[in-house]
Amino acid sequence: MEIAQPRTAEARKKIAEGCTKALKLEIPVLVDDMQDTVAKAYAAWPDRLYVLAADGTVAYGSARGPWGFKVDELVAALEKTLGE
Amino acid sequence: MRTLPPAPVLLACLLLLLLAAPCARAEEEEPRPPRGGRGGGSGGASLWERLKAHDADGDGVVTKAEFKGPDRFFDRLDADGDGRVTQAEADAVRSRRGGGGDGSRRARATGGAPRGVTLELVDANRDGVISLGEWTEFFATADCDGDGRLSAEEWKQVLEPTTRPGGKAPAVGSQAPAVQAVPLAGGEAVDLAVPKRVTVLIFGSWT
Repeated sequence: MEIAQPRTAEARKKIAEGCTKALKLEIPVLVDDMQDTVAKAYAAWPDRLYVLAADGTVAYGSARGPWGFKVDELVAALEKTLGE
Repeated sequence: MRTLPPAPVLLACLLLLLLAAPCARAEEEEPRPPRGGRGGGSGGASLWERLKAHDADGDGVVTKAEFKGPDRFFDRLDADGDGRVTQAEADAVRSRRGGGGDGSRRARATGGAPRGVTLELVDANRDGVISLGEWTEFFATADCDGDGRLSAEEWKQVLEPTTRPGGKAPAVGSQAPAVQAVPLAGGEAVDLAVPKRVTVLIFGSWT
């Protein structure tokens, strides 16, 4: 499957809606702006995982994906953060 | 199967980068400064000799403002992160890539190790060795069109997939970046620097 690069925020939103529906996501979905502000701040491209503690500190950050995209690590970090 | 805590404790946000497929055509290419040095080609000129072409004020260092290429290339060279690349830093990069002596000649004779390939890139479980399974997974991931062959474009796209600058990830223990994102369902922007609850951020591309 290939998706054309969205050129507008509205186009990006439509892609997000399609993804949410296709993946049957029930968690909140956020959409980055067209300047990729959040993605740049988190050096997120192409894939990355983070856990933020309630006080706003970074509790966990994975290596860059795809090879750094490790769900088991995320779960362990999340459980540790929630237990603190 | 482990279960995650209930929703009141946990807010998981899926931040969709919503960019094209990983196999999308790259928009950036490493700049090619004027050829110089013996041989006249990239094979004969050192990395520093090629970088000097960017030194607009001739002060012997290349600043980020002077560098005309993508930020990710500059950041890779700027070992101490001071916004300036010196000859020492350029030579250090070349050394790590085996750019001197017999190692260099062997690399050129065999076509050279693909840029960016390190053990760490393939070693998924970080045990210091590459298993056949890890290598197979690496190849399958790199082979975007699934034809069983890695083209030069696939190699570039998968190992250097940043058509956008990679930047530096916020360190564990540091304050989360002060950025906001808009909920797809509508409503006010979410300030990720003040999450108020434990929050999971999942950055991914969907294709």
